[in-house]
Amino acid sequence: MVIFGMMFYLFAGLTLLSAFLTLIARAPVHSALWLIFMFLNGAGLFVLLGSELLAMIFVIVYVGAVAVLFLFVVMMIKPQREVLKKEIKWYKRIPVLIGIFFGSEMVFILGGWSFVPVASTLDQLPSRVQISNTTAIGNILYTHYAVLFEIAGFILLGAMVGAIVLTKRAPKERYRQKMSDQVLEKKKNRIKICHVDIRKGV
Amino acid sequence: MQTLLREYFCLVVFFGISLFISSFMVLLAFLRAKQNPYPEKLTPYECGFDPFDDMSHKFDVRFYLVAILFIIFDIEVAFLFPWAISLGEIGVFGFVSMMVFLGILTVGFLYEWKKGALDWE
Repeated sequence: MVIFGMMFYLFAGLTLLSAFLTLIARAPVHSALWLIFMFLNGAGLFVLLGSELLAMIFVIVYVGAVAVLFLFVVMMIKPQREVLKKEIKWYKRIPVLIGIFFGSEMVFILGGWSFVPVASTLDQLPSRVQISNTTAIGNILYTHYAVLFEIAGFILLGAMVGAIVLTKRAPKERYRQKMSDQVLEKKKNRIKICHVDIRKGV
Repeated sequence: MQTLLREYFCLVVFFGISLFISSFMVLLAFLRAKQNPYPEKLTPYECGFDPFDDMSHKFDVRFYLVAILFIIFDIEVAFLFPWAISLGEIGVFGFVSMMVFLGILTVGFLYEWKKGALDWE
């Protein structure tokens, strides 16, 4: 149990540290890389909670895919430093206001924090002796939560169509093999047999 | 809970050892190697790019499109794993619900195929 506590504080501390470094890093690419490190530590916290599937999906989807997306976005943004310096004074006030708002909210929440006496009995994770975490999710996700599952499918479809519509340009000629055209091509259209007289040329 | 963490403990040991070995090798190279940096040596080299240029506008938006489409099918495959494990439990209904899910995403796949989003113009 000591190791459990140590690992929790290690992952939680590294999560907070890398979140902070994400905010203060100068280069946007460094921010994205610290964000990736934060996601990895979040996956570690999920493992400590006993939800292995979520931890692994966190690594695959967030670290493997979403973070790559962030890197692409960062690389596509043109750093216009001159423009940024002029407008940054104005922009600086909004995050400060939001920070004060959420910070005071956190103070109120943490000030009045107390555990409900029955909190430890409300643990919804199934006992690992009987059933593994992935099996427990699989048993209810596709039957009990079938509607939500199909809605997730529609959301993914919407994301796919939206991404294509937003990035697609007018179709130019594409480099694509047309197998039927190649097979149906006649010999006389492509090859011309010339009888060349000697010393005269074509 | 305890058994789960015991199973993952070897992973912690593995990460510790690999962290130690990698940092030890970097540290050793840093301390012991002869260091003679000069501007030519420190120039970043990247194949296919001009290193003396602003790199921010060279990326085509279609890389981004490929990444988004990858994420979507990544999530689709991630949904398949628990389904495959508990297929015996959830019966025909679970099977059909997954097939409907795959059908919805296949519609998107056909759309993207026909739109030519996978082609490089």
